[in-house]
Amino acid sequence: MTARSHPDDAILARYAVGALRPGFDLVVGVHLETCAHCRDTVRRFEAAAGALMGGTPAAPLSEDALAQTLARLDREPRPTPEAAPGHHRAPLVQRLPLSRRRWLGPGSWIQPVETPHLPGDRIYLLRVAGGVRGIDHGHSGAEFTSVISGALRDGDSVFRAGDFFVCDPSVRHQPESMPDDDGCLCLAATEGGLTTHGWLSGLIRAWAKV
Amino acid sequence: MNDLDDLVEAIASRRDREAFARLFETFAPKVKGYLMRLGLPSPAAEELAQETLLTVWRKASLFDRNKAGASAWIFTIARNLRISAARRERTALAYTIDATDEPPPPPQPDAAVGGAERERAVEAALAALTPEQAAVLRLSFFQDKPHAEIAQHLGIPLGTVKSRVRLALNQLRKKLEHLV
Repeated sequence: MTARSHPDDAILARYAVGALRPGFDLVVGVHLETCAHCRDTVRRFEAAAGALMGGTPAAPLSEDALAQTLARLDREPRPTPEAAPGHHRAPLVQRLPLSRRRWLGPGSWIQPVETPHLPGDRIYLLRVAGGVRGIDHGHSGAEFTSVISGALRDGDSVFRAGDFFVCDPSVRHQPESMPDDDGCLCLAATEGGLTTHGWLSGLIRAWAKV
Repeated sequence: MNDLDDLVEAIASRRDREAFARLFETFAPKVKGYLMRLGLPSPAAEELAQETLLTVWRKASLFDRNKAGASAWIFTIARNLRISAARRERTALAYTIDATDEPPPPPQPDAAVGGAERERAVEAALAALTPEQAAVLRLSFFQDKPHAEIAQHLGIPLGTVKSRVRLALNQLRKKLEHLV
Protein backbone atom coordinates (compact mmCIF):
# COMPACT_ATOMS: atom_id res chain seq x y z
CA MET A 1 0.00 0.00 0.00
CA THR A 2 1.39 3.36 -0.95
CA ALA A 3 0.17 6.27 1.07
CA ARG A 4 -0.64 9.48 -0.69
CA SER A 5 -1.06 11.68 2.34
CA HIS A 6 1.87 11.90 4.75
CA PRO A 7 2.97 13.79 7.86
CA ASP A 8 5.01 16.87 6.92
CA ASP A 9 8.71 17.29 7.72
CA ALA A 10 8.01 19.26 10.88
CA ILE A 11 5.86 16.46 12.31
CA LEU A 12 8.39 13.79 11.35
CA ALA A 13 11.22 15.81 12.90
CA ARG A 14 9.30 16.16 16.14
CA TYR A 15 8.53 12.45 16.02
CA ALA A 16 12.23 11.72 15.47
CA VAL A 17 13.24 13.51 18.65
CA GLY A 18 10.31 12.28 20.71
CA ALA A 19 8.71 15.69 21.05
CA LEU A 20 5.18 14.75 19.91
CA ARG A 21 2.43 14.22 22.47
CA PRO A 22 1.88 10.51 23.16
CA GLY A 23 -1.34 10.23 21.14
CA PHE A 24 0.09 12.03 18.12
CA ASP A 25 3.23 9.96 18.42
CA LEU A 26 1.14 6.83 18.23
CA VAL A 27 -0.86 7.90 15.18
CA VAL A 28 2.34 8.83 13.35
CA GLY A 29 3.81 5.46 14.44
CA VAL A 30 0.91 3.65 12.79
CA HIS A 31 1.55 5.52 9.55
CA LEU A 32 5.27 4.72 9.69
CA GLU A 33 4.58 1.00 9.95
CA THR A 34 3.38 0.98 6.37
CA CYS A 35 5.27 3.93 4.91
CA ALA A 36 8.91 3.24 4.04
CA HIS A 37 9.24 6.74 2.61
CA CYS A 38 8.47 8.45 5.91
CA ARG A 39 10.57 5.91 7.84
CA ASP A 40 13.53 6.96 5.69
CA THR A 41 12.87 10.60 6.44
CA VAL A 42 12.65 9.86 10.17
CA ARG A 43 15.98 8.01 9.94
CA ARG A 44 17.57 11.07 8.33
CA PHE A 45 16.23 13.37 11.01
CA GLU A 46 17.40 10.94 13.68
CA ALA A 47 20.89 11.05 12.22
CA ALA A 48 20.78 14.85 12.17
CA ALA A 49 19.44 14.98 15.71
CA GLY A 50 22.15 12.52 16.78
CA ALA A 51 24.77 14.87 15.36
CA LEU A 52 23.09 17.86 16.97
CA MET A 53 23.11 15.98 20.26
CA GLY A 54 26.89 15.82 19.96
CA GLY A 55 26.82 19.60 20.09
CA THR A 56 24.43 19.96 23.02
CA PRO A 57 26.05 21.04 26.24
CA ALA A 58 26.81 17.96 28.32
CA ALA A 59 25.32 17.77 31.80
CA PRO A 60 27.79 16.35 34.33
CA LEU A 61 26.73 13.14 36.02
CA SER A 62 27.14 12.36 39.68
CA GLU A 63 30.61 11.12 40.50
CA ASP A 64 29.70 7.52 41.03
CA ALA A 65 27.42 7.25 37.97
CA LEU A 66 29.88 5.17 35.98
CA ALA A 67 30.67 2.92 38.96
CA GLN A 68 26.94 2.43 39.59
CA THR A 69 26.30 1.55 35.98
CA LEU A 70 29.25 -0.84 35.83
CA ALA A 71 27.87 -2.54 38.94
CA ARG A 72 24.53 -2.89 37.16
CA LEU A 73 26.29 -4.60 34.25
CA ASP A 74 27.26 -7.39 36.64
CA ARG A 75 23.63 -8.02 37.38
CA GLU A 76 22.74 -8.13 33.70
CA PRO A 77 21.83 -11.59 32.51
CA ARG A 78 24.21 -12.90 29.91
CA PRO A 79 22.63 -11.61 26.73
CA THR A 80 20.86 -14.25 24.77
CA PRO A 81 21.09 -13.58 21.07
CA GLU A 82 18.28 -11.13 20.41
CA ALA A 83 15.55 -12.08 18.05
CA ALA A 84 17.00 -11.45 14.65
CA PRO A 85 16.32 -7.92 13.48
CA GLY A 86 13.41 -8.02 11.15
CA HIS A 87 11.39 -10.43 13.27
CA HIS A 88 7.73 -9.76 12.88
CA ARG A 89 5.79 -8.20 15.64
CA ALA A 90 2.08 -7.69 15.65
CA PRO A 91 1.08 -4.35 14.15
CA LEU A 92 1.02 -1.50 16.65
CA VAL A 93 -2.75 -1.27 16.54
CA GLN A 94 -3.07 -4.82 17.84
CA ARG A 95 -0.81 -4.05 20.79
CA LEU A 96 -2.77 -1.10 22.14
CA PRO A 97 -4.48 -1.21 25.52
CA LEU A 98 -8.07 -0.64 24.43
CA SER A 99 -11.09 -0.11 26.58
CA ARG A 100 -14.49 -1.49 25.80
CA ARG A 101 -15.83 -1.19 22.28
CA ARG A 102 -18.87 1.00 22.09
CA TRP A 103 -21.26 0.51 19.21
CA LEU A 104 -22.47 3.56 17.42
CA GLY A 105 -24.66 1.82 14.89
CA PRO A 106 -24.55 -1.23 12.61
CA GLY A 107 -20.90 -1.83 11.69
CA SER A 108 -19.72 1.32 13.41
CA TRP A 109 -17.95 1.55 16.71
CA ILE A 110 -15.44 3.50 18.69
CA GLN A 111 -12.85 2.07 21.03
CA PRO A 112 -10.79 4.45 23.13
CA VAL A 113 -7.17 3.73 24.00
CA GLU A 114 -6.80 3.72 27.76
CA THR A 115 -5.05 6.87 28.82
CA PRO A 116 -5.88 7.24 32.51
CA HIS A 117 -3.08 9.70 33.13
CA LEU A 118 -3.66 11.82 30.08
CA PRO A 119 -7.01 13.39 30.87
CA GLY A 120 -6.97 16.13 28.25
CA ASP A 121 -6.27 14.10 25.13
CA ARG A 122 -8.20 11.38 23.37
CA ILE A 123 -6.88 8.48 21.33
CA TYR A 124 -9.34 6.11 19.74
CA LEU A 125 -9.91 3.50 17.11
CA LEU A 126 -12.91 4.35 15.03
CA ARG A 127 -14.69 2.06 12.64
CA VAL A 128 -17.31 3.48 10.35
CA ALA A 129 -19.46 1.19 8.22
CA GLY A 130 -19.50 1.78 4.47
CA GLY A 131 -21.49 4.77 3.31
CA VAL A 132 -21.97 6.26 6.78
CA ARG A 133 -21.38 9.82 7.69
CA GLY A 134 -19.02 9.99 10.60
CA ILE A 135 -19.06 12.27 13.51
CA ASP A 136 -19.61 15.85 12.60
CA HIS A 137 -17.12 17.37 14.92
CA GLY A 138 -14.65 20.03 15.77
CA HIS A 139 -11.88 19.89 18.33
CA SER A 140 -10.21 22.23 20.70
CA GLY A 141 -6.74 21.18 19.51
CA ALA A 142 -5.27 19.52 16.44
CA GLU A 143 -6.42 16.05 15.39
CA PHE A 144 -4.11 13.43 13.82
CA THR A 145 -5.60 10.47 11.94
CA SER A 146 -4.08 7.40 10.28
CA VAL A 147 -6.32 5.28 8.07
CA ILE A 148 -5.75 1.59 8.78
CA SER A 149 -8.16 0.06 6.29
CA GLY A 150 -10.86 1.19 3.95
CA ALA A 151 -11.17 4.79 2.91
CA LEU A 152 -12.87 7.91 4.05
CA ARG A 153 -13.72 11.23 2.56
CA ASP A 154 -13.51 14.55 4.31
CA GLY A 155 -14.75 17.37 2.11
CA ASP A 156 -12.94 17.03 -1.20
CA SER A 157 -10.15 14.82 0.08
CA VAL A 158 -10.18 11.03 0.06
CA PHE A 159 -7.88 9.19 2.47
CA ARG A 160 -7.08 5.53 2.01
CA ALA A 161 -5.34 2.82 4.01
CA GLY A 162 -1.88 4.04 5.03
CA ASP A 163 -2.76 7.72 4.69
CA PHE A 164 -2.16 10.19 7.47
CA PHE A 165 -3.80 13.56 7.85
CA VAL A 166 -4.05 16.43 10.29
CA CYS A 167 -7.13 18.50 10.91
CA ASP A 168 -6.76 22.00 12.07
CA PRO A 169 -8.55 22.88 15.32
CA SER A 170 -10.46 25.69 13.65
CA VAL A 171 -12.13 23.34 11.17
CA ARG A 172 -15.38 21.64 11.96
CA HIS A 173 -15.51 18.60 9.77
CA GLN A 174 -17.42 15.45 9.06
CA PRO A 175 -15.48 12.56 7.63
CA GLU A 176 -17.57 9.91 5.92
CA SER A 177 -16.76 6.42 4.71
CA MET A 178 -16.98 5.64 1.02
CA PRO A 179 -20.37 4.34 -0.05
CA ASP A 180 -19.17 1.19 -1.84
CA ASP A 181 -16.67 0.26 0.78
CA ASP A 182 -16.61 -2.26 3.53
CA GLY A 183 -16.13 0.55 5.91
CA CYS A 184 -13.14 2.29 7.32
CA LEU A 185 -10.94 1.74 10.34
CA CYS A 186 -8.73 4.52 11.60
CA LEU A 187 -6.75 5.57 14.62
CA ALA A 188 -7.19 9.17 15.65
CA ALA A 189 -5.81 11.33 18.43
CA THR A 190 -6.91 14.75 19.49
CA GLU A 191 -5.26 17.29 21.66
CA GLY A 192 -8.08 18.25 23.98
CA GLY A 193 -11.55 16.73 23.74
CA LEU A 194 -13.89 16.68 20.82
CA THR A 195 -16.81 18.95 20.40
CA THR A 196 -19.45 17.07 18.52
CA HIS A 197 -22.47 18.06 16.53
CA GLY A 198 -25.15 16.17 14.70
CA TRP A 199 -26.86 12.89 15.31
CA LEU A 200 -23.97 11.01 16.85
CA SER A 201 -23.07 13.60 19.38
CA GLY A 202 -25.38 12.34 22.08
CA LEU A 203 -24.13 8.79 21.74
CA ILE A 204 -20.56 9.81 21.63
CA ARG A 205 -20.77 12.06 24.62
CA ALA A 206 -22.72 9.64 26.73
CA TRP A 207 -20.91 6.43 25.86
CA ALA A 208 -17.51 7.07 24.49
CA LYS A 209 -16.71 10.14 26.52
CA VAL A 210 -14.55 11.20 23.60
CA MET B 1 37.54 3.63 10.99
CA ASN B 2 35.45 5.26 13.61
CA ASP B 3 36.45 4.89 17.23
CA LEU B 4 32.97 5.13 18.62
CA ASP B 5 31.58 2.51 16.24
CA ASP B 6 34.50 0.26 17.22
CA LEU B 7 33.63 0.62 20.89
CA VAL B 8 30.06 -0.55 20.35
CA GLU B 9 31.33 -3.48 18.28
CA ALA B 10 33.82 -4.38 21.02
CA ILE B 11 30.91 -4.66 23.45
CA ALA B 12 28.99 -6.79 20.97
CA SER B 13 31.82 -9.19 20.23
CA ARG B 14 33.50 -9.57 23.64
CA ARG B 15 31.48 -7.73 26.31
CA ASP B 16 34.36 -5.27 26.59
CA ARG B 17 33.85 -3.30 29.83
CA GLU B 18 36.60 -0.85 29.08
CA ALA B 19 34.96 0.02 25.78
CA PHE B 20 31.71 0.44 27.70
CA ALA B 21 33.32 2.81 30.19
CA ARG B 22 34.68 4.94 27.35
CA LEU B 23 31.29 5.07 25.63
CA PHE B 24 29.69 5.96 28.94
CA GLU B 25 32.05 8.85 29.50
CA THR B 26 31.52 10.13 25.98
CA PHE B 27 27.76 9.79 25.75
CA ALA B 28 26.12 9.70 29.18
CA PRO B 29 26.69 13.44 29.87
CA LYS B 30 25.45 14.33 26.37
CA VAL B 31 22.37 12.18 26.73
CA LYS B 32 21.68 13.70 30.13
CA GLY B 33 22.08 17.19 28.63
CA TYR B 34 19.69 16.33 25.80
CA LEU B 35 17.07 14.96 28.20
CA MET B 36 17.32 18.00 30.46
CA ARG B 37 16.84 20.31 27.50
CA LEU B 38 13.65 18.43 26.74
CA GLY B 39 12.47 19.31 30.23
CA LEU B 40 13.44 16.33 32.39
CA PRO B 41 14.65 17.16 35.89
CA SER B 42 18.28 16.30 36.54
CA PRO B 43 17.82 13.07 38.59
CA ALA B 44 15.37 11.60 36.06
CA ALA B 45 17.65 12.61 33.18
CA GLU B 46 20.59 10.94 34.89
CA GLU B 47 18.63 7.75 35.49
CA LEU B 48 17.56 7.61 31.84
CA ALA B 49 21.11 8.38 30.67
CA GLN B 50 22.34 5.37 32.66
CA GLU B 51 19.51 3.27 31.28
CA THR B 52 20.45 4.38 27.75
CA LEU B 53 24.00 3.13 28.17
CA LEU B 54 22.77 -0.11 29.74
CA THR B 55 20.60 -0.59 26.67
CA VAL B 56 23.68 -0.06 24.52
CA TRP B 57 25.30 -2.91 26.47
CA ARG B 58 22.29 -5.16 25.97
CA LYS B 59 21.64 -4.38 22.34
CA ALA B 60 25.19 -3.91 21.08
CA SER B 61 24.80 -6.97 18.87
CA LEU B 62 22.06 -5.17 16.95
CA PHE B 63 24.33 -2.23 16.14
CA ASP B 64 25.14 -1.97 12.45
CA ARG B 65 27.57 0.75 11.47
CA ASN B 66 26.29 0.62 7.92
CA LYS B 67 22.88 1.64 9.12
CA ALA B 68 23.69 4.37 11.63
CA GLY B 69 26.77 5.70 13.35
CA ALA B 70 27.18 5.15 17.09
CA SER B 71 26.06 8.67 17.91
CA ALA B 72 22.80 8.48 15.94
CA TRP B 73 22.13 4.97 17.27
CA ILE B 74 22.63 5.94 20.90
CA PHE B 75 20.57 9.06 20.42
CA THR B 76 17.73 6.92 19.06
CA ILE B 77 17.90 4.65 22.10
CA ALA B 78 17.77 7.67 24.44
CA ARG B 79 14.86 9.09 22.49
CA ASN B 80 12.92 5.81 22.66
CA LEU B 81 13.53 5.43 26.38
CA ARG B 82 12.34 8.95 26.96
CA ILE B 83 9.16 8.32 24.98
CA SER B 84 8.47 5.08 26.85
CA ALA B 85 9.03 6.84 30.17
CA ALA B 86 6.66 9.62 29.16
CA ARG B 87 4.08 7.02 28.15
CA ARG B 88 4.36 5.18 31.44
CA GLU B 89 3.88 8.46 33.24
CA ARG B 90 1.04 9.86 31.24
CA THR B 91 -0.78 6.96 29.66
CA ALA B 92 -1.31 3.27 30.03
CA LEU B 93 0.33 2.75 26.68
CA ALA B 94 2.81 -0.05 26.91
CA TYR B 95 3.76 -0.18 23.26
CA THR B 96 7.14 0.68 21.90
CA ILE B 97 8.18 1.65 18.44
CA ASP B 98 11.78 0.75 18.72
CA ALA B 99 13.79 1.80 15.73
CA THR B 100 16.71 -0.26 17.02
CA ASP B 101 14.66 -3.39 16.34
CA GLU B 102 13.74 -2.37 12.86
CA PRO B 103 14.66 -4.58 9.98
CA PRO B 104 17.55 -3.06 8.09
CA PRO B 105 16.58 -1.05 5.05
CA PRO B 106 17.34 -2.60 1.66
CA PRO B 107 20.94 -1.95 0.67
CA GLN B 108 21.44 1.39 -1.00
CA PRO B 109 23.51 1.60 -4.17
CA ASP B 110 26.19 3.39 -2.17
CA ALA B 111 25.86 1.24 0.94
CA ALA B 112 29.64 1.08 1.14
CA VAL B 113 29.46 4.38 2.94
CA GLY B 114 30.24 3.53 6.54
CA GLY B 115 29.20 5.12 9.79
CA ALA B 116 32.12 7.53 10.02
CA GLU B 117 31.70 8.87 6.53
CA ARG B 118 27.99 9.12 7.06
CA GLU B 119 28.46 11.08 10.24
CA ARG B 120 30.75 13.50 8.43
CA ALA B 121 28.08 13.90 5.75
CA VAL B 122 25.45 14.61 8.39
CA GLU B 123 27.71 17.16 10.01
CA ALA B 124 28.39 18.76 6.64
CA ALA B 125 24.66 18.95 5.95
CA LEU B 126 24.12 20.64 9.30
CA ALA B 127 27.03 23.00 8.71
CA ALA B 128 25.51 24.01 5.38
CA LEU B 129 22.45 25.44 7.11
CA THR B 130 22.40 29.17 7.69
CA PRO B 131 22.97 30.15 11.34
CA GLU B 132 19.34 31.27 11.47
CA GLN B 133 18.10 27.90 10.21
CA ALA B 134 20.38 26.07 12.64
CA ALA B 135 19.05 28.16 15.52
CA VAL B 136 15.38 27.36 14.82
CA LEU B 137 16.21 23.68 14.34
CA ARG B 138 18.07 23.50 17.62
CA LEU B 139 15.18 25.15 19.41
CA SER B 140 12.52 22.96 17.87
CA PHE B 141 14.59 19.74 17.89
CA PHE B 142 16.00 20.02 21.35
CA GLN B 143 13.96 22.32 23.45
CA ASP B 144 10.51 21.24 22.48
CA LYS B 145 9.45 24.84 22.16
CA PRO B 146 6.27 25.75 20.33
CA HIS B 147 6.91 27.90 17.28
CA ALA B 148 5.24 30.87 18.90
CA GLU B 149 7.74 30.74 21.73
CA ILE B 150 10.67 30.40 19.35
CA ALA B 151 9.39 33.45 17.47
CA GLN B 152 9.34 35.42 20.69
CA HIS B 153 12.74 34.11 21.77
CA LEU B 154 14.39 35.06 18.46
CA GLY B 155 12.35 38.23 18.01
CA ILE B 156 11.06 37.25 14.56
CA PRO B 157 7.53 36.78 13.21
CA LEU B 158 5.82 33.40 13.65
CA GLY B 159 5.54 32.94 9.88
CA THR B 160 9.31 33.36 9.56
CA VAL B 161 9.93 30.64 12.16
CA LYS B 162 7.66 28.28 10.31
CA SER B 163 9.25 28.91 6.93
CA ARG B 164 12.77 28.60 8.37
CA VAL B 165 11.95 25.28 10.00
CA ARG B 166 10.40 24.06 6.76
CA LEU B 167 13.36 25.16 4.63
CA ALA B 168 15.93 23.77 7.03
CA LEU B 169 14.24 20.37 7.29
CA ASN B 170 13.73 20.19 3.56
CA GLN B 171 17.39 20.95 2.95
CA LEU B 172 18.52 18.38 5.52
CA ARG B 173 16.30 15.69 4.08
CA LYS B 174 17.60 16.29 0.57
CA LYS B 175 21.25 16.41 1.54
CA LEU B 176 20.94 13.18 3.46
CA GLU B 177 18.92 11.38 0.82
CA HIS B 178 21.76 9.22 -0.49
CA LEU B 179 23.57 8.73 2.75
CA VAL B 180 21.15 7.73 5.44
